[in-house]
Amino acid sequence: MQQIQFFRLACLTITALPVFAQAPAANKTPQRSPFLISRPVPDQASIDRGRAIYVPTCGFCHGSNATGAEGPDLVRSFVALRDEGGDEIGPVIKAGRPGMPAFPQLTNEQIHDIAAFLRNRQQDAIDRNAYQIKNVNTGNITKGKTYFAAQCAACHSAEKDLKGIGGKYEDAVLLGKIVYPTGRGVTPAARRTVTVTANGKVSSGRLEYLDDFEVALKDSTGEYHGFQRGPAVKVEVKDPLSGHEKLMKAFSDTDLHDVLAYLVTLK
Amino acid sequence: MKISRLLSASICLTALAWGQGLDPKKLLQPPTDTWPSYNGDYSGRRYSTLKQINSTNVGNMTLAWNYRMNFGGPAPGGGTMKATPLMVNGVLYFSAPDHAWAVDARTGRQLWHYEWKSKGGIHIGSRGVAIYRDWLYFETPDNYLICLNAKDGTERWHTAIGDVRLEYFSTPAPMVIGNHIIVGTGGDSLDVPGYLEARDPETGKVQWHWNTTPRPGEPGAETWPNKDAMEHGGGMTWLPGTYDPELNLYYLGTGNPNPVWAGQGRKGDNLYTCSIVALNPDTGKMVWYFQASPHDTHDWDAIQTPVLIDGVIDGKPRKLVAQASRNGYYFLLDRTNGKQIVSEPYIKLNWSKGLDKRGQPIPDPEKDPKPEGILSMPSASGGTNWAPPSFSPQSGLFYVSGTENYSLLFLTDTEEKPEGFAGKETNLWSKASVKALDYKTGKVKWMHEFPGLGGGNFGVLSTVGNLMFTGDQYNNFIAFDATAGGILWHSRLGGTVANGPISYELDGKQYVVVGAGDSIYAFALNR
Repeated sequence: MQQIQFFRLACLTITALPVFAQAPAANKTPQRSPFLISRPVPDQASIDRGRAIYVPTCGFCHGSNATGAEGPDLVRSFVALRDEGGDEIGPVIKAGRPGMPAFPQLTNEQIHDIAAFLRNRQQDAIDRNAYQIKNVNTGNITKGKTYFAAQCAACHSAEKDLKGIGGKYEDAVLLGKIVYPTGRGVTPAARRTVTVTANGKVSSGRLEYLDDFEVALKDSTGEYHGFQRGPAVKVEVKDPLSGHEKLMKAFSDTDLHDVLAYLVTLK
Repeated sequence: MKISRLLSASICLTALAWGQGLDPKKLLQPPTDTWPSYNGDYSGRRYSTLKQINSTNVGNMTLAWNYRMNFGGPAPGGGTMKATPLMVNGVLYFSAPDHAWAVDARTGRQLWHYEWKSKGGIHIGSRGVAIYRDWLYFETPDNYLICLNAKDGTERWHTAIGDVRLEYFSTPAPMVIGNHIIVGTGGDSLDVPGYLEARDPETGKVQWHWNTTPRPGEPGAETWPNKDAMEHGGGMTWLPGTYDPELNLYYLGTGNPNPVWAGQGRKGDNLYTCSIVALNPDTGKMVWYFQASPHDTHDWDAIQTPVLIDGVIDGKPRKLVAQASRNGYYFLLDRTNGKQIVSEPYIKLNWSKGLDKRGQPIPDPEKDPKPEGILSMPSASGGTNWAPPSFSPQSGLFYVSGTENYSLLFLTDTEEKPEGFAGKETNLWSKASVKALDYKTGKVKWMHEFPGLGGGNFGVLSTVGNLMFTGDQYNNFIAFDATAGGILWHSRLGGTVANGPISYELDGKQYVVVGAGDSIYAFALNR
């Protein structure tokens, strides 16, 4: 359970980061996070038609991404947000406003498509799970190598366990693993072990579960041993990741990015 | 002798019949045979004066009943019991997004169930219901205030309090003060402004509306670069506040500014986001503020319960308000005027350069989210979160379920005028604990760190029986010695503690009631 809790956290982290998949093409709608969709998302064909009308017709004043220029930001506009299929923006587009020309030639279908494009742009801002992380590899390779030799080399080696690490993960994922390695790629060597002494008998193996009331392990034969904790039950946990916990509290952001820059070179 | 306006209102109401409903006087008393509002009483202490269950006999406490929320269909938002139930005249009332229930407080048997047909909105949680005489009130993810008949769960009326098309979604339990139903709302996906409203208990009509961010020309507008930034500046009102009837002040913590993780489009302190504010509940006018996180860029709202403490500082009796804030600081203020007395970190943090002359933390711009990522302590989920803390006047300790945690924060929107969350987070490491802070200093008097990793924040209850109840990340519900800190009792539930535990006495029996997973569990002494 201990591990399950831990992996649950790791899995959450992974599901929250679909950005590490290939960046979507500019015109393609990213995979939407259902949790953050509070209204129906328009279909892609309508969004594409809407963009094709919007950019040359409205983009000059409202920005080609609809985030505003001379004219208001239509991602934040309460009129545009309250709109359903063109019912709010349609009359404004057709009749104009003080400071905004009228577009009476646009058909209801075209306005419906413009509304679909705007709704999608709003969802781009709303859907934080689909945001794209920018360049993360900004550190200094030489300084990273020096830091690695001083702080990491006691447990890790560029030639052994970390050989090829530079090609294994997206940079942003690797940055997180330098701080504390969770989720994919955590090796059995990183798992905690435990020795339990109870009724004069000593059992040891891989830690399966630990809370204030219970401890459980699997021994080298795969057999499960569970114990209720109490004053007569001695529990000693060995955590191979304790070095990360110690470093984590001392890392500067510069150290972190320098080490990343170095690890990325380990192909 | 000064009689508060609320007391006089209560005396008038006492002359009326309220049938099965709540005697309004109960709102002003310590909770014993009722738990009539979100925090039990207006102080926000979540402290019970019942002592049938106490540190000498809690070992004999066993399950009296449990109730699994019956949605009559798919459970929205994971179906977790996040509401603090109210208990009035032997009946428990509580909610989940779009749903409300009444169950017998002695047995857990369901009396009625109400379901709202939702128009949408993020279904993350419902913190509970409010009761005014015979009427219950609760808020929905699509931003309706719904008024139900407490006796049978039939709908009396509903009224819109926000617009789901602007990405508002409502989570708070409403709060009843005099003849005001105080409602807040949430919604941080897009950049919309936060507000608090008082609604008429009979009709639902707006009595007053208070914006958490100023409009041009109003005080605080100087802390925003322009009209657009302040009118899209967030500051949600996710939780109910606390109330001092003598001062007639309502204390509320406000949400973080928007865009959430990007500050470049909203340079300045961004008042009154991430603040503890004192409002006149009859007018909605702000009397004072204290900003927990000036110019927040980490999602560290300051909505955590502002707990009212009548304490002694430097030998003098003082009216105080304390908050263990999401940004990792414990604040102690004079609640008559908002003057700071203590600002003390209760977890390890790396974002503050010290305190300004008002005692507010000064953020370090180096720790603003950056495109390449920064290491944030605490993570965006904070040193604590919405789960309610507790204060025991018996021990003088402020209990907070805290998490030490680390994350990477990436700025993804580097535009001059970013939008939405504008960044991403990778959670790396967290460790849950419960801490008992000396209310006068914020220093840790005792703490208990739960074994292993994984975070979580769990609601807390303390009692005059020298007990403090909370949860851990392993589904345990645990009773601690409130003064000394040792574990005295525990029970494993079907999920982690998901709300704030409560206690009440019925027919001479004290119950401790807690929500975990999709269920409510009631414990009592096994005699």
